[in-house]
Amino acid sequence: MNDFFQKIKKDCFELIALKKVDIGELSFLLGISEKKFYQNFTHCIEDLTFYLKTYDLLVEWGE
Amino acid sequence: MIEFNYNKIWGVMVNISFENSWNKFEDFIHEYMQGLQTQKSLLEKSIRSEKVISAASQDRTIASVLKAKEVLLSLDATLKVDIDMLEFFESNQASLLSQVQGILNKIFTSQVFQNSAKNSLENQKKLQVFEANILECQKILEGNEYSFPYLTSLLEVSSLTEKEKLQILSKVVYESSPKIEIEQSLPLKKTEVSKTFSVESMLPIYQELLNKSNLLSHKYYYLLEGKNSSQLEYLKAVVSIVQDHEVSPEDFQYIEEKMCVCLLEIFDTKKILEEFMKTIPDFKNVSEQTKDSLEYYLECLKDAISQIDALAPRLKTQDIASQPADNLIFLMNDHNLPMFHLEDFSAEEKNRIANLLRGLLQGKKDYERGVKHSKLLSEQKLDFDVFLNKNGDIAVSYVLLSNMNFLILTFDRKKDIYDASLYLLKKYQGKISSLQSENFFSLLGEQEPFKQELFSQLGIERGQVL
Repeated sequence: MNDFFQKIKKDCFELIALKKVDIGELSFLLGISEKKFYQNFTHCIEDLTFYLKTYDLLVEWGE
Repeated sequence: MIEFNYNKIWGVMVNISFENSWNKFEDFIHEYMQGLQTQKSLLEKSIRSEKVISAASQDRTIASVLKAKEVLLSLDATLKVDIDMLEFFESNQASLLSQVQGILNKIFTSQVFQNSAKNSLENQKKLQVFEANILECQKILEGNEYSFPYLTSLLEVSSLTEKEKLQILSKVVYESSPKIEIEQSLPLKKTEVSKTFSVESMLPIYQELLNKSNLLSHKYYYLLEGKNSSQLEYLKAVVSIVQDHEVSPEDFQYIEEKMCVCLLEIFDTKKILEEFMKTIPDFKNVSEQTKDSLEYYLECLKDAISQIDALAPRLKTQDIASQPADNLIFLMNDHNLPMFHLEDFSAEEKNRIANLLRGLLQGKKDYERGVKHSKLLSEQKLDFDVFLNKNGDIAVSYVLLSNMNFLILTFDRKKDIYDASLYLLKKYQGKISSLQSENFFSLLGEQEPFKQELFSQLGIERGQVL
């Protein structure tokens, strides 16, 4: 699970940097506060669909 | 052996269409390997040249330079003059002349020699990369212990259509399911009698679950369509983590993603069951272990199907058109007061609240069909969803009591709306749930004076359009 978390975290933040994503906007679409967003990427949470959702949103960001 | 009719979608789509896609992918891999081989050959040629230059560099004699003449001139034609002079001195047995050393020094300090050592190291590393890539391609073609990430990256750069890529990935997911190892039964001694069981009664259940899972897969297939290979790879990883019992799907809150995980679990379990059923020669006489295994797999498939059935009503369905709200009511505390105070907001913020209310009166919601939606995430188990709309820095949280009846929880600044709404959910979850039935209509009349006052303060006329 840690491998999954580290890899998806890296990919997500690369996309955030590449597409200049506003974290406030992203966290709104995820239904959470910005603070919670950062917390979820500091320590892996058990709701893995959060990471899937974040990655999906980032892949489609700007399309 | 009883034959089972596969649903056309899976039997035909997966098996026959897959073959076409796989053939196309194989052609791509062959072409890709050809390119790799060509580059590898060029690299090997460069490495051979570098070895020759390296030998000359170590020897530092006329003979070694002349031996490397062809290679040197292929890399730097300007060395011809100096090499021709060396040939002249050598052939006239004048190699000991001082000019010769000068020419040799010039040649050995040329770019060809300067870059050679560095190039040699880089080229060796590149050669290893090419060899590794060629090996990975071969493994995929042989279907032998290949790397799934490598396969997905090849698919990504291939010329296959998205649908063809998805067919291949779907099949690969099937193929990667654990193989069932059936224990070889030992021959019974004459005096032993082993108890056997009939599992014929499970066959209709199996058929029903198979049909149901095929229907659900077809119905929700669109959730997987359009996902690229990385997205599918991550989904597959989550399925593995769930199957290893590291996390429970009970903790998954994002509905569409949870559905995708369940769908892939259904694919896996179906595949395992299909393989397992093929190993049973006589359904009337099976061992206890076989019976227990079959019951377990059927239960797993049933669970996965139940999860999807439970999630389906909560999956966002497309708004056909924005219709005006039938009714708006507000969550009130025990003193019949709303959860927000207008006086806490500036004039600009009140305008935004007014805009949000007008939007809701028009039936506008900030989410759309698909991945973009603004749904509040709560760790509480709720039987309703809480949505968020925003206007500038102000947001509203609300519950859809029915298609066009809204319960507004509160207004707040965007950064605070989450905590505020989560607090209200903790405190008033029961009340909100009860409003989904008859209590709603009794509140409508009670709140009318409050609403009139609020709308008046915000400058909203009922029926006003933005």
